[in-house]
Amino acid sequence: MARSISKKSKIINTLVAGFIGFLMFFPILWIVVLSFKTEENAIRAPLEILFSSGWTMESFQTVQARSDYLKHFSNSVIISLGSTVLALIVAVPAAWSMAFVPSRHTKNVLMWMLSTKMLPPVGVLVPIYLLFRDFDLLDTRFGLTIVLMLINFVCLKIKKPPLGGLGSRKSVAYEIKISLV
Amino acid sequence: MATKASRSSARLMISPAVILLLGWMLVPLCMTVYFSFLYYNLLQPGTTSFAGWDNYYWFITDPSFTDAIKNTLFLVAGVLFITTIGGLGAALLLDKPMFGQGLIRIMVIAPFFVMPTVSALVWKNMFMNPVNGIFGQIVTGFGFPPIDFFGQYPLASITFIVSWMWLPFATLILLTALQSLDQDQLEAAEMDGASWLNRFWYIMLPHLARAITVVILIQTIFLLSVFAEILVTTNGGPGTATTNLTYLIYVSSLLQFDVGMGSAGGVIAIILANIVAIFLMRMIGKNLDA
Repeated sequence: MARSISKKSKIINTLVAGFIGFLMFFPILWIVVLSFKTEENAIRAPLEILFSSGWTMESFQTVQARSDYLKHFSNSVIISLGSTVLALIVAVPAAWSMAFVPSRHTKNVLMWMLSTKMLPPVGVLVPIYLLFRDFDLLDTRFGLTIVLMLINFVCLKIKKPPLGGLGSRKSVAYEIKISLV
Repeated sequence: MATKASRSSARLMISPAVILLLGWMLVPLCMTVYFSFLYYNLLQPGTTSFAGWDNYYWFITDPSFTDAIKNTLFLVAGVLFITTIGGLGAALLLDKPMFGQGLIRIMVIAPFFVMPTVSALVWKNMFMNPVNGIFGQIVTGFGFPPIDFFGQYPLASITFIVSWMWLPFATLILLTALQSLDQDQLEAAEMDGASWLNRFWYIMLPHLARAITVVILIQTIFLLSVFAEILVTTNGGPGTATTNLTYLIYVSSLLQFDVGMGSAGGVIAIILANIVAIFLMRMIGKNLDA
């Protein structure tokens, strides 16, 4: 049961947390604001940018025209979704078996899987580059998808001991993966 | 409780993951080790020959190697320190009742969803740029000379940017852990006259121990291989001021096309990461049992 809390302390909490939240969020807000400005207006003093310069959609048209933005975006979507789905297909059964039918070795296997995650990507950068070159996978979406799948699916295996909470831990891992891509 | 049938099905379920991971780990790893003993430059095809320990020798005695190690350690330690302490504070704050809780939480967590390259660019061009950046303009507004962040404090600036990206992660995990704490315990302690500091130290902190280890472990893994932020903002410079181990290996293998040298660097990076990993595994191993 929640205890009653005075309105005053609630307001103070809101102000402090809101201020910190605003600071954290500000850079993102600022990109959004600047995206509606012309290039020349975007580098003026902050207050001038906000109050004494016009708003425009010009930049959005330019970015699409110059670099085919949608194509790059769809690449990102295909790679991230593809590798996530593949990773889930492999990882969910493994996570199930670890969580519900643990054996003597489960902990060791789990530790080993976590430790592969600690392998710095640069450690295997060169061989992968060469393998991909030899198998003609360089610069293909498929190749990237496979790499990301193998790199990432360990994230799912941060097992939580009893039954409850397995889901939430998984979703956190899932978020990590999305942000990686 | 596990029956014979369920045990064999469990083995079936886990084997694809184990086999894939084993192949994924062993094949490139063996190749890396093999290449590291060769003179192998992509610009001179057909001239590979056995090199012994030469690649290692030259990689380690390169002055930029010591710099890279120092920078890597500084970056990891700095970001861990800021995000763990800051995340703990933010989680304690966000756990309190307030108006518009959902919105404020989303605002705090938002940086986590920004891609590393994008956030590095935003900070570099819109905030830390001495002429156009907001920090520069505020400071000149007060009549001081602007600070050239990436020129004067390159590593601290990158640490700051990476911290900004990882603080939400720490906050999110710690906040979830804090919410699973039984409120009755806290209330009982309060009735017995425990001060806030005592409640924090003896009840909340032990409860959060597992979450904190998870935060430290996951972050260390990712922070050891920070790359995009450095590539976008400083390109490892000025000089080698922001070159970390990952970046150094990138430079030697993909910019100088020296596969042998790059592989030697990779092997060293693996060894160093394993040293860190052993400590972390000990810590986490205890916490995973419970």
